[in-house]
Amino acid sequence: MSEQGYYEVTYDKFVFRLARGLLYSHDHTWVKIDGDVATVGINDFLQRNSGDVAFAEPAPPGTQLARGGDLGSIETIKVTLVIPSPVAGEVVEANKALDRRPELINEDPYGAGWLVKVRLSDREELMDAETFLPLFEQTIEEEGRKLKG
Amino acid sequence: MGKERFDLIVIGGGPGGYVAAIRAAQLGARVALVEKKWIGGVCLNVGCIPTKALLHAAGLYAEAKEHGGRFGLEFSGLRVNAGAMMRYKQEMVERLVGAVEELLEASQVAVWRGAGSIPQRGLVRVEMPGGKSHGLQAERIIVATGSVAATLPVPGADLPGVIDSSGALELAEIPGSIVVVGGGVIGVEFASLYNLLGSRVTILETMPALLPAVCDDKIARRLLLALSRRGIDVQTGARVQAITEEDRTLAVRYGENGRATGDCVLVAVGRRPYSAGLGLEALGVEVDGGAVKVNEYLETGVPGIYAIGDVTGPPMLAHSAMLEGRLAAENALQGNKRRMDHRAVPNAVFSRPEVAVVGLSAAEARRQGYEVKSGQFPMSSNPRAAIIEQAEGQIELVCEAASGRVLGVQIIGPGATDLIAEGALAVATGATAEDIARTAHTHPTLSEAVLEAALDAGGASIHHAVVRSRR
Repeated sequence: MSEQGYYEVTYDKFVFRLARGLLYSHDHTWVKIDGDVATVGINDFLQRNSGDVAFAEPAPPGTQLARGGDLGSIETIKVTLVIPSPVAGEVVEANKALDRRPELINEDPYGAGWLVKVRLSDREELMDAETFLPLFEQTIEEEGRKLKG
Repeated sequence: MGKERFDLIVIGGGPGGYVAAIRAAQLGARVALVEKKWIGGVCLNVGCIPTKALLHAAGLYAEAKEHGGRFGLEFSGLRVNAGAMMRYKQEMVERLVGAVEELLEASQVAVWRGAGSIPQRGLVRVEMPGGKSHGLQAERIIVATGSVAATLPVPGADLPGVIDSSGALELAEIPGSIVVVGGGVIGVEFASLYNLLGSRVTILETMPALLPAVCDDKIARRLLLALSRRGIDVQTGARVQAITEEDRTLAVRYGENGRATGDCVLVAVGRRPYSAGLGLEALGVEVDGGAVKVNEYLETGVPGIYAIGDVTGPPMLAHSAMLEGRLAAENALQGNKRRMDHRAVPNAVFSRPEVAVVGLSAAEARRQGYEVKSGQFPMSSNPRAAIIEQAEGQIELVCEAASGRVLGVQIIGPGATDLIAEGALAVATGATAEDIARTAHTHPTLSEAVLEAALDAGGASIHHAVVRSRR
């Protein structure tokens, strides 16, 4: 997905990337819509803020997701992060690659680190990258200040 | 043939049989134990005990190699001496078999060395080595003849270098590479063993997940990840087609066009009940695919004939057989009063990381109609697990939502095989998550993870944060 380009937000020594061409939720998930199937993952801020992923447990195929329902969880050394779904519908595929390489969520959050594919029945008001960018910057600024104390 | 009278005769001296014999003797019975090959059975001689001895040594080696520097341990020339390791294993086996023999002697159990059969009710014939036979009489007989390794029905399964679990305990040197056919308990344990000792290991499992008969998909996925991270090549959905010899290595073909190679191939595709030659069918005892059918009192359809352990079919666990042995002895001598309940029998896998389960998984509990509340805790948040550099894994306490009663426990991680005892006690006694949560657990130990999972079931654990949203 690197060819499509990113917006970059620098804070301290970190560069956070926001992929162009995807849709975003306030919860720092991203959505890519292809016909009636949505691919969902977490954005670069959320993966970095959560730490190295030790285990990922995306909702298994067949799960009926409500908007805001549990899309799955990722376990890092710091925290177990339960991810609210930005879309409603049935999970049609969970990313099997995460079984052996959960670190893909850290390494390639907008690509190989996707979590689930959902057959859409409903979705939140999602933002394009340009609309989300100021919120993305704001979150990074706030969380960054917290980290520095 | 001469006939000697006993109150009870046990056929088979494995963990089920010798425990039944000792228990019967404690109750004042005159007891005979007939054993064809090994006092202690497969478990002590070529199963549980020797594999755990080797896994202990292999674990120390791998820990020293992988974390020694970090622990401030400096050494040079650390290497595996396979011969010495096998001798240590054999010493352990002999010591523990000797201990069982002493217990039997102290209990005044008459041990008959030979193959037992039951030509008629009340009579056991012992075929001694050398061709002589001897008749023993007793009104009550307990069959505890165990199981044998299942074979792999594919071409090449009889090639030299294709071994079963007994063969895998006798290797003169550590193989450079090994293909393990079967991702069940035995396969995963041996895969761990040889991985810890430095072999290149491939696991081929027919089913879509590891440990298909043991744990739920969540644990199986964590195990897959942990083994993969240790460098084991795990192939699931991989049905083996044939084994061929190619230029001093063995090649295993699986699935559509999969191929794995190794210096040797370990076949670990399960075990079959061993009841052949006992003469049970002729007596009217129901036998299904080798497995002897018993009721909840462990008695067969023929009064006075009981059966316990592997010969009755799954779960095929030594500790289940030991419990059944005690109950069968008591029922045989005191009337059928004690029922065997398998719901609280734990299962344990001594892989690295370990896996242990008891009772119901969350998915199974839901299938049975329970409303489930589950408490979870990751080993990465347990201080002891961090200290020993094995901070990977998870514990899940599956509880009935309304009452909090513990229905099952599933653990993957360090110490799982010991920690499961608390879960088994909870399931067996109907304890609740709150009972566990109110009990102080020693700090800093792995057992705190059980406490934390119980706290999570009741709302939230103290030492791990679960964050739902970053909004």
